[in-house]
Amino acid sequence: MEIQTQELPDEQLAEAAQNGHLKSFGALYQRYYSSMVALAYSLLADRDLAEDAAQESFMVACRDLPKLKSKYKFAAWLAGICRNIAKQMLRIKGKKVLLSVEQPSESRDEQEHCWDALHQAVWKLREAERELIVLHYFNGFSRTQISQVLDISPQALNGRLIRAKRKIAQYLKQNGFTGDDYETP
Amino acid sequence: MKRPENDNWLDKALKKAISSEESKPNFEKWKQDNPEAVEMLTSRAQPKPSAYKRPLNIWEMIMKSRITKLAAAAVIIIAAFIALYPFTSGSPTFAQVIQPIFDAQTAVFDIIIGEEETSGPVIHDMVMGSRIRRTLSNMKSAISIIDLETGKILSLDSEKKEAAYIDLKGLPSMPNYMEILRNVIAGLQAHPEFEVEDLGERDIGGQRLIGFRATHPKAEIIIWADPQTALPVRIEQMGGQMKVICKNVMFDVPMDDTLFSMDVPEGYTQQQVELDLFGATEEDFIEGLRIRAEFFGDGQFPDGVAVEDYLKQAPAMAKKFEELELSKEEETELGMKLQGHLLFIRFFKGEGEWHYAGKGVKLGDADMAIFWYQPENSATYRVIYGDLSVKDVAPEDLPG
Repeated sequence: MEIQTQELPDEQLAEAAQNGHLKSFGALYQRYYSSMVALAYSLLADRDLAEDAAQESFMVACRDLPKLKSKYKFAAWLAGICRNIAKQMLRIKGKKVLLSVEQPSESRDEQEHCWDALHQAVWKLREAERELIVLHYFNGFSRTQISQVLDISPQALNGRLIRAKRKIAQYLKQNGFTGDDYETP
Repeated sequence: MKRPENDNWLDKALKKAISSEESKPNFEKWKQDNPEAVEMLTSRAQPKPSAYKRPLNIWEMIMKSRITKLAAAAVIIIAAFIALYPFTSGSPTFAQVIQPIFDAQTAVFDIIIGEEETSGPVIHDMVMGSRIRRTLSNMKSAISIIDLETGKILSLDSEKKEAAYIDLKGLPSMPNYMEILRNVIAGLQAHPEFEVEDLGERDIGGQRLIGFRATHPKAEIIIWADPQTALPVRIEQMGGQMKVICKNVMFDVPMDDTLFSMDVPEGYTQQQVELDLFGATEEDFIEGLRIRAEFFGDGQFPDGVAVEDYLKQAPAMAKKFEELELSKEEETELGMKLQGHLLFIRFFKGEGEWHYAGKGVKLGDADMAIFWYQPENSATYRVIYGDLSVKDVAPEDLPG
């Protein structure tokens, strides 16, 4: 008989949460937690830290909800919080975080090198492109959700995705890797 | 033209490199880890200060929140239903009394609008989830099922075998009415000026009951409970110009889902109407005054225009409707106009209180002021006269 809260649009949930409705905030948490982890991961390149950043983002969102003016842009607003938190973490732990991405071990075999190169290709992208790539491949998010989180139109999303992938492929090619290197059994 | 390269390999590689199915949200854990944030959020259930001069009642406080505007869907029913939710305090006895309200999944109760002694109609409500089943003591064949989730009312007349779906415009969905109210009340409880006064035991309706008066800067509720069981059985709320009494309250009464069905029974005629609960204007109110005088008052304005007056007159008005032998369309149009008239009073938006002096005044009497009120943010009053003309009048020039 009941419509599940999870089915309500962001703006209704955000408004309800602003009015103290915890279940609505819970629905927003369920809806955007993974995408916030992905977003933070695109900056931090560390899944544990990304989880921490996502958790903290919701804590800050909870505190700052009254400041949210456009309830239709809850996802984009939350993403802004998440970026700030991830960047603060990056300032504190950045060198350690990026170490594994930028400085692969000499002892690694060829297969590992090619995956390291792919990571480097992604993390060398501009921030906006990197966010999109990570969100796109992270956990099967819909294009609508990615558009909402990144606050860009689906058309712009498509164009940006194509350009980002082209840059990754180009980077890999310049470093001597082709599609065959990634065709693993 | 250059043929685009096949990048399926890149899709697969990126997916393998980036994908993560481990990041599962767990809100329960988040709540446990962030109790202060949860407290901060739930404490916001208290509405913002209002511009109104007179204190708001709980109903109006809830109305200030858009999500709970859906509570307005039941119009009168819900106004009274809200009185089921008093405030709490540190007093263990009072806490015991209110606990069933917070634990309840269903509720059954009778509502009286206005003074109990004036023998107005009794509204009987059954509440389950997002739905309320309402019947009226003075209109036996009328049943309303209110679905707060979809913002619809199914109004049934079992005698005439007529059904009407009423779409309530502009209301957000409210899947569980009791939960929303719990959250709102939970926010109110935290107010530093919230107070509870022990009224002691009294005989009410032949029953020995223990009472508490819960006050808040914007509301006042009296709750009476059985001293033996600590279960609340009667709740009184005075808000604005309307007193609401809930009595014979019972919680968690097992009820059959079919009682709350929004399906039209077989053999009923069906129509659909729309109702904007928040859009009633002064013009709607005046048109209702005209209809009430012209059609139902033999050319005289009604004795009162408050909700309780309307409820008392409803059966006579329904009978008159039949005598008028109106077409279905005309009946619907008239009914909708009266709804607008009632809603203007029910959700009165002006400053302070409205005043009615139309009892006994004939329609067309241009010298008699029958209604006046101060619109929001206005220095002057709007005065409606017996000929239904309206003038802006300074406070010092208002009718005595």
